[in-house]
Amino acid sequence: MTSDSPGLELFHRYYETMKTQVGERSSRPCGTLDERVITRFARAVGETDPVHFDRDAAKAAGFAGVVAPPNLLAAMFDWTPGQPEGELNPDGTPSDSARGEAARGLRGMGAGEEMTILAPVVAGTALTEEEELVDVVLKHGRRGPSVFVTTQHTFLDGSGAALNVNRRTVVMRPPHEEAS
Amino acid sequence: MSAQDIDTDLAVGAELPEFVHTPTNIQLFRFSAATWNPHRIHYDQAYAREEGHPGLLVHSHLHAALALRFVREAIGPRWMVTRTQYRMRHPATPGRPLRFTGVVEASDGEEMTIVVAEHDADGTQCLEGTVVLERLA
Repeated sequence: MTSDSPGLELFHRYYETMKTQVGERSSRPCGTLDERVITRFARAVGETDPVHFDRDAAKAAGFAGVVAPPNLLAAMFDWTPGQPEGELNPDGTPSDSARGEAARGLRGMGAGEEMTILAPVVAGTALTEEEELVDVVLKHGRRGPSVFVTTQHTFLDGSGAALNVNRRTVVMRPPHEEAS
Repeated sequence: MSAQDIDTDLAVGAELPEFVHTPTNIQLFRFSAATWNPHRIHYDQAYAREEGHPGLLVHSHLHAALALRFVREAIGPRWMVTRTQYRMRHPATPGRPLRFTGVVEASDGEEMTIVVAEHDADGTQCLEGTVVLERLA
């Protein structure tokens, strides 16, 4: 057995940690979805439909308020106020969970998502997010090893009705110097 | 004709009008800010290079948001996205055009499935996916 470099050790430790967490669920309140959050997201994406910006246009189109573009809930990186800057991982990502702490020093990026949109998401909705870690897969590819982590995110409104069910995959890789 | 007038019911095999969009550093910054995303690969070029990337990376969720914008602007507001799935095949950097194409894979007048692809300026496919829309009542 060959000994791993520190970066690969970190990577394999991450994989082993994540595997033990498959099936774990958590739930968190996300607060009330503010109109300004929607309009800023829509502006950043370059949306042109006035239902994302204008309350009257949204109401004329039959919605109770300004409408979120389809993947706003999915794209929101963090619903918390965030950690103090000095506590973040070196790549800027949060460290305040076992998962975030284990990822410290690794390289991550989004790999894809499946979304089911059960109802339009409008300003003024009280949101809760339920999360489940559903899969952790180690792969060896041309660019070295990677771990694909799949989580399911269900967003509920104030009455408990599901708005979105999103299954997201992120890919984690060893530190760059260890990957070549 | 305004977007409100579009009520597209495309036949299977029909191609959506192509959409070309060039993400900018400003767009990446605003997307990070709007989604409270502190990941440095999206705004700190020196750090992104330390990780071995060619430059800043367009967020996977921004790729998806642009693909969803492309489909909705082509189809019109009388359809609602009910399902989508996508896979990132290659990252992209800002300042280079992304070309979105779409083909109707299935349609029964009430539900339509569009296969979407996004390619960078080199012709490398960055995103592949499908978007399912339902006609609003």
